[in-house]
Amino acid sequence: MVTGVLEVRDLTKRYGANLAVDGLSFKAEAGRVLGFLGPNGAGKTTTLRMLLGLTLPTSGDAVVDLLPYRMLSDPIRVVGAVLEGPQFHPGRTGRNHLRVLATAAGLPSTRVEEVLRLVELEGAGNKRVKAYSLGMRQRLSLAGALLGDPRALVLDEPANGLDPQGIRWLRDFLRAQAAAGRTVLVSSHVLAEMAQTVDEVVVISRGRLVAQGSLDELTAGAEAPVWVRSADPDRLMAVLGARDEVTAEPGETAGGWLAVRGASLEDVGTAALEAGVAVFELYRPRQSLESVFLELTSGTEAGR
Amino acid sequence: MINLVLAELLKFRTTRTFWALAGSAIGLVALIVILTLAIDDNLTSEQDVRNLLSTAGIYGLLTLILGVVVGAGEYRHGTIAWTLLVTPNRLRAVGGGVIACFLGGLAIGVVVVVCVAAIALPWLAAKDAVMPPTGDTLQILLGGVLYGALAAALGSAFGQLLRNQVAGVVIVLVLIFVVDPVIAGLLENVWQFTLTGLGVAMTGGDNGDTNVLPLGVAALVWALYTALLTALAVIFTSRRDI
Repeated sequence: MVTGVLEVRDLTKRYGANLAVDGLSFKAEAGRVLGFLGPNGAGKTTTLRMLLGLTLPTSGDAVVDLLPYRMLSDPIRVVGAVLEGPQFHPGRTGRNHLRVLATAAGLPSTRVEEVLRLVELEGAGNKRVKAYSLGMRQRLSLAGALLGDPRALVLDEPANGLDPQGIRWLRDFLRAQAAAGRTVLVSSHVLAEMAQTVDEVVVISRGRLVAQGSLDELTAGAEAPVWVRSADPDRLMAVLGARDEVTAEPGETAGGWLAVRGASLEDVGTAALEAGVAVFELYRPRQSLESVFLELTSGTEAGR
Repeated sequence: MINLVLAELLKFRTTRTFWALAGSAIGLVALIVILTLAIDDNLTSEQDVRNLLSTAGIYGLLTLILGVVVGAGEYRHGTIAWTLLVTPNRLRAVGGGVIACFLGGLAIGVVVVVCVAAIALPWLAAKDAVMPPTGDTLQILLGGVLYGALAAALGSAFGQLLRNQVAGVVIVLVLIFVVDPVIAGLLENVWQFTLTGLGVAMTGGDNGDTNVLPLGVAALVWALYTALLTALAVIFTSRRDI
């Protein structure tokens, strides 16, 4: 059964003395957008190319529906791919580029017109690719990925060259693809954009996995205190301070704020209710994806 | 495999390179035939006519170059990644390109031979030239078509193996214009197995020289060279990172 689940297991790629990917493992599930993040040279593109059978792993596995890409009998219907810096024959028109792919895959020519419409390139289909802007090439690349109506999408920096409208279109498009049950694996260095698009992230640095989880988990800032503003901060501080492993202390700003460590939002709210203290504000500051990313990768990058 | 070959043929048709090289081949052969017929008043013996008709074989050099340019062009333009994403089986991907080039060379060859026949046969009849037997004439013309098709296929396999258009074309030209003549001078019995020797055997331009292989054997040897290069291209494409 074709599910489009993408998985890499203990994947390693070595170029001479350079270890580009080092024992990487992760899985992209159907119905989710998995963001694949890492600094330049972290091994993202190499990993995705191994997943697509374009680069041979030194060891480990990269599989689609449990099969290496090269073993797929009809890959265009299983995985659609956008490679970083997609390349085309400059003298061929966009429409003919797609016709070549469709013919090789045994797809009807009507599908070419459908995907051209989908990426809003129908008016430029008969132009030679050398006349395309970077954004148009990116859209053409995406059209190629969508030709086979695949169960999974593997996209390497798909937002490169897109204007703000294009980026927004791409975000909505990827969310819609995931909502339709497709697997979406997308690498990007535009972290603010990724934060609005992905459900989960895999962060790598120097070829190694440094973090993996849902966006909420990574940006929740588990180490940050819960901040609460109440009608009676002294009483609430005493109640919370009596609990094991919970500390509460006044905030530096005036206005009855307490900084509570070792407790969840639910713990603090429940304690306030039980103590009969009115709560006006309660939150745990979230970290931005960018700050999490920089924090996670700064240690490993320092050694470069 | 049929879809793959059709896609490869569509690649030819949708770029100018194919049309430019095909047009050059047809124009060059037509020009040589016309000039020879117009200038050479002594074109009367059967051997002269054989030599003229075998001129069609020169287009084989151009289809050989066409094959190299097309085969290596996928790497030059980076479109090989698209090809392998749709057809990850390297044997099918490389083989599809070789077969498509064979068919492309065949198509060019048919046009070239029709042109040669249309120009030369009435003109030779008007000159009262001694024509070879019809069977021999057909063999020369069809041998030319076969040579052009096989040359394009070999060029494609070589181009896919080498991946560099300029280097590929230069190597082919050096082989034909430098190495083969040297071999002809030094190793007469080996020359018949060179690209030039096999080409001469297939196009009938042997000047009565008995030191060439029969057409069928020459075509078979050429096909074996192509198969060998194709096998190497498949192996290297399987092991290379794209």
